[in-house]
Amino acid sequence: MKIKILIVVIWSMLVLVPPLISWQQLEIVAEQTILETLRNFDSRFQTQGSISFTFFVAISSTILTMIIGIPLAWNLGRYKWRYHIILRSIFTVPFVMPSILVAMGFLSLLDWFEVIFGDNNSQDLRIYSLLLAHAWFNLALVVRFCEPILSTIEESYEDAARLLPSGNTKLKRFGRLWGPLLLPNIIASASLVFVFSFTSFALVKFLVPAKRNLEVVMSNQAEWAGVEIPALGRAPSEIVLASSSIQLLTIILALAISSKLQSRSQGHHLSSLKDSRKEVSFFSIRGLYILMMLIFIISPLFALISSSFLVRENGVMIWSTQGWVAAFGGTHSPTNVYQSLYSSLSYAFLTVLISLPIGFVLSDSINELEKEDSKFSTILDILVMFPLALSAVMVGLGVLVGIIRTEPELARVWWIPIYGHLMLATPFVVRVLLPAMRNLNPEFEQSAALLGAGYLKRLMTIKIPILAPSIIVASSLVFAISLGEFGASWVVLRFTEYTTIPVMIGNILSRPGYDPLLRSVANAAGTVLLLMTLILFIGVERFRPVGRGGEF
Amino acid sequence: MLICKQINKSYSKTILSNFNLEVRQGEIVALLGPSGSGKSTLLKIICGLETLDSGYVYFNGKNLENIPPEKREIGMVFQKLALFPHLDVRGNLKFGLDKKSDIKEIDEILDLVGLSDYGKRKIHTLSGGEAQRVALARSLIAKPKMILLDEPLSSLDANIKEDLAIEVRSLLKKLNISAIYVTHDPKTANQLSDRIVYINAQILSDE
Repeated sequence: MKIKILIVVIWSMLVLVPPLISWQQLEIVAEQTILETLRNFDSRFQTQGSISFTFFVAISSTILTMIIGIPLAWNLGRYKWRYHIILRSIFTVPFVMPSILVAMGFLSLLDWFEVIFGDNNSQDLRIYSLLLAHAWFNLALVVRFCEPILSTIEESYEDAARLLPSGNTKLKRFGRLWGPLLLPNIIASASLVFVFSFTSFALVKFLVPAKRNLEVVMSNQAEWAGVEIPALGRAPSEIVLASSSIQLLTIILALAISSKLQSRSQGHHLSSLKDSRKEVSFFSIRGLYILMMLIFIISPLFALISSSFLVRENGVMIWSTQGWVAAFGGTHSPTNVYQSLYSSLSYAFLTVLISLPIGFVLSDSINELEKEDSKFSTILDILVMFPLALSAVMVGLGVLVGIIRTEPELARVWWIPIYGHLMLATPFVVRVLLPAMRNLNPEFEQSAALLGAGYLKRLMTIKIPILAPSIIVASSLVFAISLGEFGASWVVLRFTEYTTIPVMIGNILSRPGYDPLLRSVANAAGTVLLLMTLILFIGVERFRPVGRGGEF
Repeated sequence: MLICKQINKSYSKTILSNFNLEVRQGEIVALLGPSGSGKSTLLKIICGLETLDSGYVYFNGKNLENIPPEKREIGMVFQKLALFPHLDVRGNLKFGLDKKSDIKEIDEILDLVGLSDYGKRKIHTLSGGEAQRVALARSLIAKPKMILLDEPLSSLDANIKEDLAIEVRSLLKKLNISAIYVTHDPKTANQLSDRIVYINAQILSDE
């Protein structure tokens, strides 16, 4: 128990101290309060239009994701397809894809668009592709939240509604039955899509380089934020302080709405855990729709892989392996694929090793507090989720400004990035393990205790073996998140020799000047990352419990 | 009056074979048979939620073949009741009304089923018997000409089941609504119905 309390206290310190120190440091350098920095935020050339652009992108992306995602969730939830598990896996794979890969996939599609239709440099086209990329990336959230409920909802609801005057047309049934039943899940998923689109970094940075959202603004100022050098002025610190405040407030509001609606949704007692889907053939209108959605999901990934073997010269695509040779040779980046892969895998392994026990203890503590009906369970849950409300770039800044600026010798320490990865990945461990722990029959442990098993024996012989599938899911998810993490690593790592693959790709794509080979090199490195993520994802899906919704 | 004539229905095996049934206006018929004998399938065929392979269903002189379920004027109470969990009792009953209906009808039907103060209750807070009454009230409020009851009492305790069976019977008689009550319990069938039809696999006999 003492160890548990210690871990909870350590986690709280880990989560709260760096952002608090960094905000204090930023306030000292800015010589202004947060409110004062907000006053002239939009008049600076570095930040002009960034607030409106951030909100425009987040709101439009959320609407587009819902328009694409709800019909997909409906067709997966209400109908049983041949190879259903494979289909569901394909439609949920985007969520575990590193955002930088999504950016590159859509950049490759834009390249193809240019080759086939002409100009691709129009700002509008790039913004549309950004919104579409957000929808692609977040589609899995809508499916994960809505599909399990749709698939296990009592079939007789539809029949009963059909026989009653208020449900005797499809429109009425949608408006009065399905709409209200699904609304909490739709809004809960929409809130999360909003948060992820609001804090989108790699996609905005590379797909619409002429525009800046708050995340890009902060990243651009990260190098000088919190540094007390009179020649630099106070601007970087002021900008980061204001941006992070707006961002934090907005995200907390959205997450609060999501959490409230999720708890309301669970109060409906909907799920019967009985599969109520009707069988349907691929040779139908619905089949055609599913095929189109498959093409939508696969095309950016296909474009990414194929473009790694293409080099563009004078507007013509030429098949070549030069990109792969350069990626593995390290001719276009400070590190080659081997070195970056080594860094990525090392950070991912270490993140799993550390975040798993921390996440396990945190989940166990929340679960026990919930059983005691203690309000501390909510407080601890909020503390666990806090890093997600910070966004990746803000976590990176917290580490950079809060730790490195105050202890400069830490800047070259290899393990510092793990800190950011831990903060971003541990909440996901809790989100996977906590529902599994809630479903664990307490009588298993109680009977083991009556048979004389102590805490450690019960943990090793009862709890961990029963929770093993969820532990495997959590480990793979953490590994994938760490492997693809870009925002925090970009802020902390980009000038060090411990460059991960996403940072290596970011470095290549950010190189000034035109080099026809650059995109191919980045795509080759991206393909390596893609393959690793896919292998992990397939591993995760095999262990995912059936009929679960509203989880990661 | 309902007439089912030479009804055949098969999935992977034959469920109903040359089945015939007549139900007169105001009559309550119990359909008695073991699980898997096609009782629920027959009800779904009558109200249009299932199609038949061959045969006819006539209701008040009309062939129901091309009439969709929502236009057949036949109500149904499902085995699991299918009360919508996101709506309270009043909301569920309102679902049975169209826009032109008088909202007072909800209070009247709640009175009729003995649940006058239950309008604002959440569905998951109702007992088995109360939920059953709400499901019946929801079907009745739509003013169907016939009501199909698919073992709605099956999950209740014996005592409650007996009382409720008597209540349901007197209510249906009071409203002069024809009904088919599906069950595998001979005692409830006796208490509730005017006539029992036995259904056993593909063999049907009228008694």
